Formats: sequence, C-alpha cells, structure tokens
Amino acid sequence: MSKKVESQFSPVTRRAFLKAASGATAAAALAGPFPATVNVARAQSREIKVGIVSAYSGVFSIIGKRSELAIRLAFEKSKYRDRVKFFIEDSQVKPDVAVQKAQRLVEREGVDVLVGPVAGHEGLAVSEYCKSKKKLMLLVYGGNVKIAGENCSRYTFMVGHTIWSVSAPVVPWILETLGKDVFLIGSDYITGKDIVRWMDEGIKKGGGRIVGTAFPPLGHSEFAPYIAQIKNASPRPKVVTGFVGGSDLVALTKQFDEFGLKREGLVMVQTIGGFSDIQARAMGEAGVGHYDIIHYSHWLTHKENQDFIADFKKFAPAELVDDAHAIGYDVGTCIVHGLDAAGGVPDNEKMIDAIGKRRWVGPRGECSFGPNQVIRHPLNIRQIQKVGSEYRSIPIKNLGAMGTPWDASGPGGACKL
Amino acid sequence: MPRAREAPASCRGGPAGVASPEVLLTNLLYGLTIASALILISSGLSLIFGVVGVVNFSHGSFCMLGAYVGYSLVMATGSFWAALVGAPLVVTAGAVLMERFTLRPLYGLNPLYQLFLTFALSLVFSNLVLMLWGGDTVSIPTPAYLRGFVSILGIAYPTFRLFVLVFSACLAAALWLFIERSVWGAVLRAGLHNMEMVEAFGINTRALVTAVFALGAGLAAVAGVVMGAMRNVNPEMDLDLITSALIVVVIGGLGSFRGAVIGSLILGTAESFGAQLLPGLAKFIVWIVMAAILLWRPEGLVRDA
Amino acid sequence: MTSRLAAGGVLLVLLALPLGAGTLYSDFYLSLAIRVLAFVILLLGFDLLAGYGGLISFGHAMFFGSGAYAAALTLKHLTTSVWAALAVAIVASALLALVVGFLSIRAREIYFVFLTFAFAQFAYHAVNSWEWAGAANGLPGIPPPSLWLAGRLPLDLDRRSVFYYFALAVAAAAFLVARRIAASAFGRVLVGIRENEERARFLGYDVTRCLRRAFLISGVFAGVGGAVLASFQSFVAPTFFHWSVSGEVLLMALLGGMGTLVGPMAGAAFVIVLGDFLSSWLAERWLLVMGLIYAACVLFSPTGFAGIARRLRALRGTAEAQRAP
Repeated sequence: MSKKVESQFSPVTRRAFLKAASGATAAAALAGPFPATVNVARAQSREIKVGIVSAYSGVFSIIGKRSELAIRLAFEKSKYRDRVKFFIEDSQVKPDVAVQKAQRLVEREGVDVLVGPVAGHEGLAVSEYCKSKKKLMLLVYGGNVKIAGENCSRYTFMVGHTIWSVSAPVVPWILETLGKDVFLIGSDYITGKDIVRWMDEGIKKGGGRIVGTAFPPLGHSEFAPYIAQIKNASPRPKVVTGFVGGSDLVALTKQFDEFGLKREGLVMVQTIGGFSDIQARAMGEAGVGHYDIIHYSHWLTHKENQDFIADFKKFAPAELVDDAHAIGYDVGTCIVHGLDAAGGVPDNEKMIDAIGKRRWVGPRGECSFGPNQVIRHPLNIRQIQKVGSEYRSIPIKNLGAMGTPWDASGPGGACKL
Repeated sequence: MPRAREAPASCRGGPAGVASPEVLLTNLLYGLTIASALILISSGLSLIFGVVGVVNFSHGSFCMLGAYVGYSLVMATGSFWAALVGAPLVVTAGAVLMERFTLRPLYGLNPLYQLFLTFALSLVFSNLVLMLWGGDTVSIPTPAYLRGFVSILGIAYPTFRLFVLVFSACLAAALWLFIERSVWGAVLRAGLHNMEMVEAFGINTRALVTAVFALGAGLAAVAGVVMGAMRNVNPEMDLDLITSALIVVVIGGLGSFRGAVIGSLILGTAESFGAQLLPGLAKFIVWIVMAAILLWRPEGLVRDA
Repeated sequence: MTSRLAAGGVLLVLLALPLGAGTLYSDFYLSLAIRVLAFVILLLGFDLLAGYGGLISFGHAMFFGSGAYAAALTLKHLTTSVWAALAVAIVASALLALVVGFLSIRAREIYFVFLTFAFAQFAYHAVNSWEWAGAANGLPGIPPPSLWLAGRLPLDLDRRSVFYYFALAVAAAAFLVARRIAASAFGRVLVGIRENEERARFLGYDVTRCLRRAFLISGVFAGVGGAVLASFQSFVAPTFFHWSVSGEVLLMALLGGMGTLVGPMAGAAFVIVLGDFLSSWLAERWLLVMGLIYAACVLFSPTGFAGIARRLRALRGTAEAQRAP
C-alpha cells in the first residue's frame, strides 16, 4: 500500500516492461536447452524496488522531497530507468515510526534496497533494523556518529555526512584565519551539544580560548539573552561558532545584526551548512559575511557539478539545487553503480563490495568510502556574499577530503568492520 | 599566555559576571523585549479562555498563520504595515468561521471535546501552511527606518525591538482601557464571571463569544507578524508559541488579561536571566515553574477583580 | 447476544492472525497488531482514570515511557526474562505514578491536564538529556526477551508470532483485570466521583485516596504497555515520552468512547491502523487528512464509537418495539 510512483518521465514504462518481458519470453522460446540464459534474462528484466523512508511531514520534509527527486534523476540517467520502482514512506522524524515503515517496506513490499531517514536517531534505529534483516541501506542525512563507530554495519552506507565530518574539522581554520577568542553556541539537543563539545576540545587543543558557551533551546528563536552573553563576554570574542538549528539560525543572524554584533566585526561560522542559498535569501543583508562548512555548494565550478545542475534544470526546473539534492544524487548513483556491478540483478554481496570500493566525482567533488562505510567527502568553507542583487553561499576554501574516524577515540567509538 | 589588554568595561566580572550593573541592565532590557512579545502572544489566549471557556490549542496556529499571511502581504506590497493590518483581518475572518462551524456545536458539552477539536485543527493548520508555503524558513523584512539600533543607557537596543515594546505597551493599554472603561468591556467582564446573567440581560451571548474569539485570534495574528519580523517564519513556530503562551497564562491566571501581562513580564525576565545564570536548564525550569504554580496557586498569581 | 457474537468473532480473528502471516499477508501486519495490543493495555488503564474517574491526564506518555525504559534497561543489563522486565516496569511506573499522583490529585479539570502535561514534559526532556539512558538516540540493540526465567525455551519470544500471542495474553489479562476493577465497588465509587464529587465526599468517601489509587492503576497499566512494546521493538527512544503520545492516547479514548473499556480499545486499533494506512497511501498529505478526520469525529460523534453503537442499539430497540404487537 505504499505510494508507488513510477518513473514519471518515461510514459511508456509499462510498454517498455512488456517489451522486455516479451523479449525474455522469446529468448526463452529460442533458448530451449539453455535454461540458465532464460533465468538470467528474466531476472534482468524484473523490477528493481527502491524503498525510501524519509521525512515527508514537518519541516524536514524539504530534505525528504529534495533528496528523493535527486535519486530519481540518478535512476533516470541510468539504464534502470524503466525497471526501477520507488516506494515512499513518511517516517515522521520518529525512530519507532521509521522502523515501522522500514518494516513495511522490507517485509511487505520486499524492497531490494532501502534509503534511510533524515534524523540521526531515526537513522540509527533503522540501521539496526536493516542489520538484523541483512538489507542494504544507504543514508542521505541521518549523520549519526554512532553508525560510523560502535553501531557500524556492513549493510549501511552513510553517503551524506556525519555531524562530525562537517563540524569539528573546521576548527583549525577558524583559529588560523579568524581569531583565537571563540564563543560557542549550540542548540540545546544532542547534535548541538555534541558539536559544541567537539569544537571545545579542538579549540583548546589548537591553542584557542573559549570565552563563553551557550545552549539556546531548539525551536525557540529568541536569542537576546545569548547575545547579551556574547556582548558581556570578556575578552570579546572574534568569532561565534557551533551549531544552531536551521530555522533558528535565520532568527539568530537577524538578531546578531540588529543588536549590533556584526557592526563590531564579529562573524559567525556555522557547521553542517546552515548558511545555504535558501537561508541566505531569508536573512538578506544580515547574512552577508558569515561562514559555514559543508561539502556542497551550488556554485562549485567543477564539471560534474555543472552537468548535474544542468540535468536537474531539465528534470525539475523549479528546484534550487542544494546539498540535499547533491547527496540524494550521490545515493542514487551509488545504487546504480552497485546494480551495474551485480549485472543488473540486485545482490547484496556484490553491491556492498562494489559500493564500498567506489571512487567517484559527483556534484560535491571527489568522494569515496572509509572502512567504516562512511563517506569521505570534500569539505568546503562557504561564505554568504552579495552577488548583484542575490545573496549566495560561495565556496571560498576547500579543506580536502574528510571522513569520520572509526577508532575507539573517534566520535562514535570503535567500528569493528 | 599573557592576557591581552582589555577595555575597562569588560574587566568587571569576567565571562559570567552576573553582578555587574551593565550585565543586569542588559538582561533586564532584553527581558522586556521578550516580555512584550509574550504579551501579544498570550493575551488572546487568556481572553478566549475567560469568555469562551476553551483552552484554544490552535492559538499558536493563529500566530503562525498571521506570520505567513503577513509575509505574503509584505512580499506582495512591500509594506510592513499592510501586513500588520491585513494579516489579522484575514486570520480573524478564518477564526470566526472556525468558531461558528466547529466550536459552537460543542458548547455545553464536555469541555474536553472543545480542547480536542482545537488540537485536531492545529494539526490541520500546520500542514496547510506546509502545503501552501513550503517548508523553508523565511523572514518578514522590517521597514528600513526601523532597522539599526538606539543606545539606551549605553546598551545597544535594536530599534525594531523598541518599536515592539512601545507597540505592545500601547496595545495592552488600549485593551485594558477597553475592558475596564467601556460598556462592551463591562459586558466582557460580566461574561467572564457569569455568562448566564449576561444572557438574562438580553445580550446576545453567542455574538459576544464569537467577538471575543475573533479578538483573541486577531491579537494572535498581530503577534505572529511581529514574531515573523523579530525572529523568523517557519512551519513549526506554532508549537513554541503555544507552549510559551500556556506557561504565561498559567502563571498569570487563566482568563485574566492583567495576569497575562504580569505573567509575560515574569517569564520574559526569567528567560533573560536564566540563560545567563542557568544555561541549558531552561527546558526543565519552565516545566517545574508551571507545575509549582499549578500545585500551589492554580488560579494564577493575579487575582482578577 | 449480538455483542457476545461480535466479541467472539473478534477474538477468533485475533487468535488466527499469525496463521496467515508470511503467506497470505505480510509479517508486517503482526508488528502492527503488537503495537495495537501495547496501546490497548495503555488505554485500558487510561480509561479507568479518565472514563470512569473523570480525570483527564495529558501526561500518560511518561508512564508508557518509564515502563518501556525500565523494561529495556532490564533486558539489556540484567536478564532476558520477559517476566523480570515486566516486573521492573510495573515497579518503575508505579513509583512514578505514586509521586506524580500524590502531587497532582488536588487539581481538577484543566489544571490537572496542565499539571500532568508539565510533569510529562519534564520527564521527556530528562530522558532526552541523560547520557546513561542514551539521550536522544535512546537504547538500541535490546536483546530479544525470553519466556523462561533463566534459559531459553525452544519456542521463544524472538519469533514474531510467538511474541504476538504473548502480547495478546497480556492484553487479555489486562482487559479482565480492568473489567473487574470497573465492575467492583471501587469502580462504582469512581463513577460516583466523576458524576458529582461533592456528593461522593458527603457520602463519606475519601475522594483523594480513591483518585490517587485510580491514577496509580492507570500508570501501571501504561507501564506494562510500554514494556511490551519495548521488548518487541528491541529499542526505545525518548519519543515514547513525547506529548504526541499523550495526545494520541486521549484521541483513541475519545474516538472509542470513554468509560466503556471496549471503546478505547477499538479506538486504539482504529487510530493505529488508520494512521499507518493513511501515511503510506498519502505520504505527504496524511497528517492533514488525519487532523480533519479527528475533528470530524469529535464534531459528529463526541461520544465515540461506543456512543454510535449505543445509538444504533437504541434505534434497533425502538424499531423492535414498534414492530411488537
């Protein structure tokens, strides 16, 4: 009963399928004494079922929908465009619902591969479930460091990032380029607190000084008290960094400007993106000059990104391509790559081997997987700049490839793969 | 590592120097801005409970709808004032329809049903918003002459926040005058105490109830537009707003307008100081305070005459 | 007579459910059924407090969650015996219900709603922050429970159909206990308190004591429900404590018809099955449709399914009376 949406851009799907099926039958008739060939031909024309359990209600639905579109594009460009069938489920950003829907997809629909949920805690729950069912699963976001460490699984690939790989590594750059006096601010939930903790360690190790720490409640969007703290901190910080949730960040940036902090030369460095093109538009002038760190930017100049953006314009012209799209595309191409290696017939072992060894240049740049099956992605520092009348998130520095450590001292503990 | 020379002002107290007068003043002033926002958000809720007898769980949704409609109006006309006037009109119209067709049939029955209905409708509203405006966060741009900041006693105070402070003070004063001094205000106060008696005087209580509901919704929409400019506009803002509003009216006393004002002041300053003194504990303290008030003085801190 | 037949029919379907799983229909529906059974246990307790006693709580998620976490921690660190897990869950939720009940049963109506809501929110944020309880990630990887106290039986609870029968047995036992309580003198006093508290007090009943007892019972039921679900799911997360669970409980009770025991049970099944079906069918719009359905239910039949059933029976009664000579 999942929402089955066939590839909307090949209206002759059914015809093509029948063609393939009749071709297979003809081959069967001719093959006669060669049943093996017949089976292969039949298997190669059967449906490929891709299950997506992601966020389709609530604010995260934008990530769910965008990454799904990109996965479809990846398949659209592959030779499986007529064979693939997508099964979509809403996880409601709750781990128990995510697992329930994953069960539905794996047990009731019998999907060949699962694309995982958006939030960290759901990602972990579904990954554990897929481990028990030996079902191949790829994560779009869900950057929970535990999946990179203690709870790593042969059946799970983290294709997006982990919250560590797009936060902690920016610290040396901050200390070197912006200043040594730092104010840390993290939304009061697990992601914000973890990131603040890692950055705290990194700053101390790098010889910087933390002049204050704040944990504003998530979703509250009122930052006056914390701005007061920043103003009253001594010595005065040069940079404010940490992690503040998406919509809160828009409020923080506006208030940062309103209360005069930007005028004093203070600058913000946000982790896990945040100062994206779309957010930049909402912030307007107040956002100009702030930095963030993530893998993708719409304005990356390498050829694969240009091709990707051009393809997307033809596929879904209304979309402003950003990191959710880029990650979704990488997920799609990884599945396609695995299918290619398995000869067009979904096979766990062959696909896992192939995906694990894959090195490719995608919209984000050069990517590969670490031994813990977590992505090694390029790391880019972006800055909001005004270009003409538009506010854009421009990549200003590439910090190289970044994976997530899998040893006991790593953020998620030791991975025994 | 030798400490760099610092300006004298920041030498006092250090990073958490609570005692310094500058810090105290900053927290107090900033607490006032939070309070002024809370007054706008909670006064409507309190009034609706007092007269209609319903804890309107869609109150946060009215704020959110006001913010989104306001955003569209600003984008279309370029005028913040158009949003401030237009959004409440739209939301009030919708609220009147909602009250007439969904709440009115439930009057006289178990109040639980009304509570539940407003809760179900808030689900509908938040999804409606997602459908119509999408999930990305946006913001209402403030008018150019209200940007920047003024200096109050040496502390930078955003001009727009000053506007919000003055605006909500004026609105609160106007409402107070209306409730205490006008004829219809007297009817409202009577209705707060004894609806049947008001009916006995020949006044159309149904219309009164609808009018109060509309007033509450309008106030919520105004709050939404202001929040949209002060903070942001996103599809989950209703949750945070209804939570704040509930806490304020519990502290101040359900049904009391003065209570909503006092409760807002208390919560606003507490939020401001609490962030400094007890970082990361805000989410616990807020519920402890609410439980404490409900246990020892459920009718709220303000005894309304 | 017809209600006996209906009950028998439902029981037969419930008993036969696992037989077709995996062949006629997917195994997944057994998971859904187990989830329904866990909520049924929770709803039985809730109805005793709210339907019979008239005290609407908006914080039952905290008992559901405490039972779930207690069971999870037991299974993970102590023993895999499901009886031990249930026992610890009962003790944990009972303690919590004692404390919260002692404090809360002096407020009434909307203030009681707010108070239980405040306590539940506090519990939610606490569990969400405690590192030893897994914080936001919760506790994944709980070992499957076993029926025996020490070793494992050949037919053990790690098979879904076996767990289903176990959950069914627990739910049936819960129903019988709840029905006994409702029919007992205590149950009737509760109804009396709901109808007119002052009169009950004048008649000499210790209203506070009775309500606290009812609160304790409903908390324990909720804890058992949580323990059952946690043992099945093999993970727990702070979402067990989330206010949306409390809201769902209220919804299920309202839809089914409060004060009837059977009504809320049907309400639980309806909400969970409909929710699953709608969210898979509509993916994006389903919450909107759900909200509209709930609103419609409250508007057109505030007394829920039980109310509808009663009205139908009354109609049939008058029709028969009219046909009688």
